Amino acid sequence: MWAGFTELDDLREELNQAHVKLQEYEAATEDLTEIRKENERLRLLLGFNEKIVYKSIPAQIISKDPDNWFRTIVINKGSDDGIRPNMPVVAFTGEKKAVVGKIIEVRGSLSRVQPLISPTMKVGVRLQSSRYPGLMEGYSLNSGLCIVDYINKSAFLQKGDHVITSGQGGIFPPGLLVGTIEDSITMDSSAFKQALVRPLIDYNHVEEVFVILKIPDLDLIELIERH
Amino acid sequence: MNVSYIFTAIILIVSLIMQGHSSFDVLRIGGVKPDMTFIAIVYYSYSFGSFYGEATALFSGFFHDSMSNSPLGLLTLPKVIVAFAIGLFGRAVMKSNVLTIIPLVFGASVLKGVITLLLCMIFHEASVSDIAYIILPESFYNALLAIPLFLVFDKIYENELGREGSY
Repeated sequence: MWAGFTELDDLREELNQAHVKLQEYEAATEDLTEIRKENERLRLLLGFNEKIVYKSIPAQIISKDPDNWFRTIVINKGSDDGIRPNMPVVAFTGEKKAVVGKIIEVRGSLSRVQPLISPTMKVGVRLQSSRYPGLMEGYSLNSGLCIVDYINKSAFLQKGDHVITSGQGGIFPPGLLVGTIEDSITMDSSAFKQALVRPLIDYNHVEEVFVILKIPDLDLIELIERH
Repeated sequence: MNVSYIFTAIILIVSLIMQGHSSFDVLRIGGVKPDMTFIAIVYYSYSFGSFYGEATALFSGFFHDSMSNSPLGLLTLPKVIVAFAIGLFGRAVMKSNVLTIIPLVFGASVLKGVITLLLCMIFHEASVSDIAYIILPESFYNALLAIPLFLVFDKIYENELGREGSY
């Protein structure tokens, strides 16, 4: 019985300590929220719009191209959900968020996604470690690889280095993971290096994606496509 | 014969829908999945002649193009050309057995792949490396899958083949 009283005291003490910690954490969370709001306000003032975190909506993959020549994906969200062409699409592999592709066609409740591995897909990227920019496009559909071109020859490319989106091109926000370097190609006749990149997303097994509701910069896209 | 037309339409539509379903990706080997619709078209041309093969190729090709991101006709034309070519030979020339089916379907798949590659180079984007990554693996896979599928189709169309005198 005496042991029960002492245990009760210990429990009461623990509860009080937990309350105190909870109050401290709540205060810290409020501070963080205020700091975040101030940060966003200041960035808005300075015009750093691209730093704002975008809203995204989840979507299920309901169909894929029936043949091996086109690898587009059909998802179950469309214009009724706020999706527009050229919106970026991402998915999670483990805990990492990586680029899947972009929306190329939209209907009421369906959309078609063009994957990164498509030869017609071009994305502005950057090497995460050295920050050198490059232009990535699909290598060959069933190779599952992409090729990054126009990398400065002085860039050091190592297998396993991460490649991220550069934010240039008007479609993808900067800093999104794309893939890892598999191999580098250097040709004496070219002023640039190339890198073979394996996308983080496995297109054979991806089932759920997230469409980032970022309005694409249509003027910039048109300018780039024209040239 | 009307019943066989209905069977044909059902087989083509079902195979296309199956190929487009995301769970069909488990059948990928080396990143490539078999083209069951094309195997069916080869069978129809081989068994019932050029016209039947071309008609099924046209119908399934347009349906395939509508489900895919391809320009309309890009997946139809190779099927129709191959169906025409195979229909010229047909069962009258080659007896139906495993030794005939494998090279027939493999050769037809390679021809379809080459025509598709040329069309993609003109109207879409493609590269010569697609021969190694798409055409050859798909052709091998189609040839392997064709054996059981041809046996199944022979059972389904037993009466029609008997009428044609090909069974």
